[in-house]
Order: sequence, then C-alpha cells, then structure tokens
Amino acid sequence: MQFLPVKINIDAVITRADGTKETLGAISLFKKVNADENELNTNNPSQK
Amino acid sequence: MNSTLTTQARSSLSAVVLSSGSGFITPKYLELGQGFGTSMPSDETTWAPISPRILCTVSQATNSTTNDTYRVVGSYAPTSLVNLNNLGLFTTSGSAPLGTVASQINPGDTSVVVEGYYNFPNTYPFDIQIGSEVMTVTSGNGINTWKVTRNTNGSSPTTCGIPVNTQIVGGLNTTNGVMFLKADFSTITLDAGSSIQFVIDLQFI
Repeated sequence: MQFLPVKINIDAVITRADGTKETLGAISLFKKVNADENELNTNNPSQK
Repeated sequence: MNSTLTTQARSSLSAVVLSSGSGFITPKYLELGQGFGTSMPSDETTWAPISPRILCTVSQATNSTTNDTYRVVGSYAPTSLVNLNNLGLFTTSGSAPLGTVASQINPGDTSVVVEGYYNFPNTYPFDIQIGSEVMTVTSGNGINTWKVTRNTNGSSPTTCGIPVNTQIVGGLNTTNGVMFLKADFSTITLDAGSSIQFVIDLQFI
C-alpha cells in the first residue's frame, strides 16, 4: 500500500478587546490522503 | 473539526508534479464564514462568507523536514460581532456572488428561482453551492430563474427541500475563483475590538 500523506494543521490566536490572548490549538487536526483509496481519512475526530 | 483539500486543489497539485502546472495560482486569500456544515472535497465555497477576503502571508516552513510545509498566516479584526464556523483558502481576492433561494427547491428540481439573479454571471456555465450541494447553472431566463444540473463536482444531492431564503454562493466560473482548502470548526465568537490570527500549515509528510 502506498501513501501520499498530507497533514493540514490550523491554529489560531485570538486577541480580545481587553488585550487578553487565547490560543486555539484545539482546531488543529490531521488528515491523510491515501493514494490507493483516493480519499481523505480523518485521524483526529476528537477535535470536532 | 474537518478540513480537506478540494477536488480542484488535488487536480492542481497533481498537475504541478506532472510539470504541467505552470498556471498554478498560489492560494493566499483567506475567507471566513459564519455557516455550519461538514467540509467536503466537493465544496467550492465557504458557508455564509464574510467579505472581503484576507490577503495572507505565505511561505515555506519546516515541520519535520526542511521546507516540507506551505504556511499561510492571516489576521482578521471584525467591526461587529461575528460567529466564525468555517474558512476557505482561495486563489483570488474577489468574493463570491451571493443570492438566496426564492422558491423552495425540491429533490430532483432542475430550476432554481433566485433572489439576487443579477449578482451572478450572465454567461454559462457556472457553479453555485447551496449548503453542501454544488449545482452547475447551464442557462438563465434573464430575470430570476436558472436551469441547473444537480449535485455536480462530486457533491451529494440534498435529500430534502431547500427552503426559501437559503443562501446561494457562487462557485467555479464566478468571482469566487478556486477554493484550495476548506475547514469547519466549533464556533469562534469575536466582537469588535478583538482580532484573530490563523496559521494554516499544509505539510507533505
């Protein structure tokens, strides 16, 4: 089986009006492109 | 949260590997949306997009091996309260034309009555997206009604009626351009005076 994996990771930092910052690492995720099955597979569903 | 490379992105990347991708356009415009759904490769638009798109800083970055990552960094500061639920990365700065459903669309219908007809192209074909279904508009009556081909670009047909006032977003062959990547996530509420910076990494591993 051959894999051509691609990892998509999205992070965000919010700066509120009062200057406080919130880091949203929780919206990061991991997906693979499986070259054999030609489909994306979620590897981190807990982030939804 | 779900994210995906769109069908157009996959095609463009394979063309680059084939050395036939000289026309590849860097996706560097971030669009945020306030609508719900599950991101699909067939998607061509964000849900309830916020205009204008955000010109991002793009670069190569290193996560595991040298320059294995395409990195996009963009910031957004709303002028009023927003609830962000999804984002898309596009090749063009222009926003998509918007309209709404003016008469309920039932499964199998091939006519769409639209409010905002003149926001869209008057040349055919072009794509629209309603929810997660992509439709190809093949002709129009010049007033308010399109003929469409349902569930195109590999999207699934909507199995129930699409109610009046549902948003219609322009897809391929409109000012929407090409969406490269899409993600949905739990609601992020921002009010005026706040800002958010996104860092999107596309890493080849």
